[in-house]
Amino acid sequence: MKDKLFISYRRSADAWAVGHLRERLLGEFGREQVFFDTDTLQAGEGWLSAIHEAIAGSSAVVVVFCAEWYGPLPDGNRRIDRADDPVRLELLQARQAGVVIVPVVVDQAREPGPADLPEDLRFLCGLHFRRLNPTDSVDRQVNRLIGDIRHAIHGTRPWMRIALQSLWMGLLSGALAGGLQWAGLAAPFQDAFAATVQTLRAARPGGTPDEMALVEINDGEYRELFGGRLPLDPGVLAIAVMALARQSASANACRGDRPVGINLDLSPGEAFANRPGAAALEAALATLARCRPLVLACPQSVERRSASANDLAWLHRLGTPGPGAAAGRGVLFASTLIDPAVLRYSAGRGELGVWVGDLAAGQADAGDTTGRRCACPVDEETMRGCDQPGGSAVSAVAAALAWNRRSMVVPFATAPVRYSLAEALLAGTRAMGQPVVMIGGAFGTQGRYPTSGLPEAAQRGVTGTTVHGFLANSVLHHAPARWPAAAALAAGCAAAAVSCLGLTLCWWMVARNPHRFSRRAGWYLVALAVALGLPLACLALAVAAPAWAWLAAGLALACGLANARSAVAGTELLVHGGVAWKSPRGLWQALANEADRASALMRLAVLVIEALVIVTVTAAVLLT
Amino acid sequence: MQRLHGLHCGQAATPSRLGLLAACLAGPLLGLAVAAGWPLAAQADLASQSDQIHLGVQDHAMPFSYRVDGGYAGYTVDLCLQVVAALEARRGKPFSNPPAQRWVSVSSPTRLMRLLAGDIDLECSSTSITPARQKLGLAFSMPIFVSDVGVLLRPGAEGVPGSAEQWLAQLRARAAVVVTTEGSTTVRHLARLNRQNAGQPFKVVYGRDHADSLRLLLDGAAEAFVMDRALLAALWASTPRLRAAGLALAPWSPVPAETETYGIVLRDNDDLLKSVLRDTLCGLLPPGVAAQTGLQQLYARWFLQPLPGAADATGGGRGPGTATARAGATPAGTAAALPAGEVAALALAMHPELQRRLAAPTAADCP
Repeated sequence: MKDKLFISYRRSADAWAVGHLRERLLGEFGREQVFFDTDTLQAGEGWLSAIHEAIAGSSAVVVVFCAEWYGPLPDGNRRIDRADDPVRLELLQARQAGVVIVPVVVDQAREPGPADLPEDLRFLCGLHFRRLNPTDSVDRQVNRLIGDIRHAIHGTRPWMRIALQSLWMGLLSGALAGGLQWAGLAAPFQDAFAATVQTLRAARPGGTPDEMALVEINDGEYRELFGGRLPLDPGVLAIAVMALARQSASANACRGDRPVGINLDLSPGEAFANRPGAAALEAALATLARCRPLVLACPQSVERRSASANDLAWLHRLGTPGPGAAAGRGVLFASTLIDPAVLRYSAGRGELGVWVGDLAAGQADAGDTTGRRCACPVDEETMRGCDQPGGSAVSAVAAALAWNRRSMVVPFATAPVRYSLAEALLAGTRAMGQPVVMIGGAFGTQGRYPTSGLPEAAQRGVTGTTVHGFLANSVLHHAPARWPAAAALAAGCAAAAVSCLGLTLCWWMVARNPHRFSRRAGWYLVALAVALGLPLACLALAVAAPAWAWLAAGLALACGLANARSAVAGTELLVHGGVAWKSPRGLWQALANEADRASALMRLAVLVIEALVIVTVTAAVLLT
Repeated sequence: MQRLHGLHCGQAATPSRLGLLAACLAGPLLGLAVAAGWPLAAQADLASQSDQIHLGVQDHAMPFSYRVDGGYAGYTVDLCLQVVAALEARRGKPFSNPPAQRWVSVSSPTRLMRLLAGDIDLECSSTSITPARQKLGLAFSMPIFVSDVGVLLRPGAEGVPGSAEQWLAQLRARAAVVVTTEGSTTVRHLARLNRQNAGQPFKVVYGRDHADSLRLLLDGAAEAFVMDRALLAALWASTPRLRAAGLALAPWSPVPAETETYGIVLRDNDDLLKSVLRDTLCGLLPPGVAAQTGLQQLYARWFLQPLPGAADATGGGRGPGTATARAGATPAGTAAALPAGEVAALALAMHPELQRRLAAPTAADCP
């Protein structure tokens, strides 16, 4: 890092002050780092060119003001007013090269006012002056001056500067990510089920947390149970369902107002009915349905009209009440999807959480065949009349509860009681004895069956409808997952645009001051690679792993902000000729200086905007 | 939780601020602990409450658990029977279901779920101890066996490949198919091998159980069966069709860094059964005794002589072990009558770690 000093003084200045300052600065920074004309210049060397070169290679110029600094001449004029005055030339060149100027006033000399200075040196009036007097505290004064010089050269200590900047960017990124989550734009796919529970809570005002059990069947747990193989094995699920039925019975929960909602989540394109264990699952579900109303999420393949005939037949059989079905019990189907393409069939007709809540509250009839038919139309016959909104009793209930699609997009809904499947099975009757039991999970299967990657024939359902329009991965069919992908895309593009601006500024700087750039070329290239590469990597992440799109969006936003700050710094480099880290207070003081006003205003504005973002988002998240 | 919090703050008798702060923090922390812990504590010991006991066994996990006439036999089955006897002694009365009705046939994918669901109380076959399974609310006994991963393959013209690397390279070059059993830890080993060389993966198909995997191997749907070496050795030794088909057990492991340590599995909240299981196994393996222990005797019975009554896992009839057992021959006598290499193959399953454990049992497992 460049940390050379240039001491600018008038030969007639107080010898004690210049000498004392020289000794201390040489001791502090080293002889090689401090330019002092009598020490550094060689005999016969062109002093003017040497001084110009030294200033261009310095980080700071220490200007020693004394009573004689203006250089009074016998004719009443002053040397400082002459265009060829060396001191004046030194200061002008320092300003032009963007070198930080540190003024020191010695003895009883007064700080120069605008009237004391030629017009091109009046920028000095905006600078803060240090005083150096021959008192007992002279060493303390010099120490403070050295601190100022170090601050001017390095900003603050490098690690502190990095830490502060990192903390600030972390706060800002966190606030933006929190804002995304709060706005519901970044709910990952896996949280759709939790959102259902949130809806259910909203549908049952006054309900206490203990009134429901959310049983999460997560992908990782199934991987363990299956030894790492996907997808879900219906035979294994049958074991769990049968255990839940048994535990419900022993908890005396076999009642019409004790519904169980299960997000069965079959995979598109899978001939589920032909898989080993499907018969066992069918029997287990029937057993559970004889005990309490059972609401199953309609498989997405059915709602998208892409299910195979075998799957549809199996579901049709499952939904048909068998012998021994108690009144008000049975298998009902509901929808969990909020995909606009699916809403045509199922909007408001039987969302899983709403329906379960209504059944528990006695506001819905388990024998509502219309709702069941429209929520999961398994054939052409049952589809008839279902694409007209408002056609069922359940939709009226949903409307009364002001349920809408936005209410589903609630990220990180914390379930009141949350079990993993293993915990629920171990907890047994306590979990199953609760009035509302929601069982769900994505089972991780969607990511393995991208509809867009299947041959067209495999996507065609019995109705002949072909599924199109899903992006790289079918996980994106959930709106909450699609939004962050779009956000990541927008943020990535914005970051790339800002990076291009930064690149342009960079080349401009090269043209203006190749010496400065050559010293930091490596860092510039690394920063540029990160600035351009990270947003692109985020985009790739958003496309390849849509469930992590929210993270990609957050990273891309953070990267965009970092790039924006870099662009501000680059602009300041051009305007001011040098960048020194300034605290908000320092920036405020810099406003008084006409030369620094523009850049200080810009940086203050950035700080204020960022602070507003943090405060607003934090308040919004906390208050809601 | 809120009520607990209020009680703690209100009842804090200490006048100091620190004490008050500690008391206020204790409320939520206690509440969190209760909230986190009660689901698992809500179910009492099924085995101690119920008057019946059910043992999960596998049909073709020789020599650990396999079907014989009228029931099940095997190394792990023997251990479980001793545990049940000890449990009955602890209860002071026998279980109401007769021994023949205590068996519940499970497979690799279903065994853990059936245990969690309460269908079985002990799983007595060849289940590897893994931390992830323990997190599911399952508990394992002390290790009862150690194996590595082996490969049962059909040798090519040049015989069995000389090393795992050579074999894997051949597999990848041909994009060949290997089989393993669904629900086993080998599934993950193979997936990792494929991830390490994603450009040239080999294909993996899955059998529902070991017999299904063998069927896929014999039918030519796969050219190798990757599974725990002990299981493969026992299947090979007890299944004449495998030997007749020229299949051989490779002397190397495709994942040499991996060892499979078996344990008997039970629910973590079944404290009574856990206690009886630990005491029983510790009785078989007394710490500090390097001489012949009960576990060594069991090991010699199931790993150093032909398997009694083992059915051909491929459905091809009885193996020679059954014939000799029915003839009443002694183990020593039957060994001589076996096809060459059978006992050697069984002994091959003996992992050095198991040898160390049998030779010098430590007190770590039996505090």
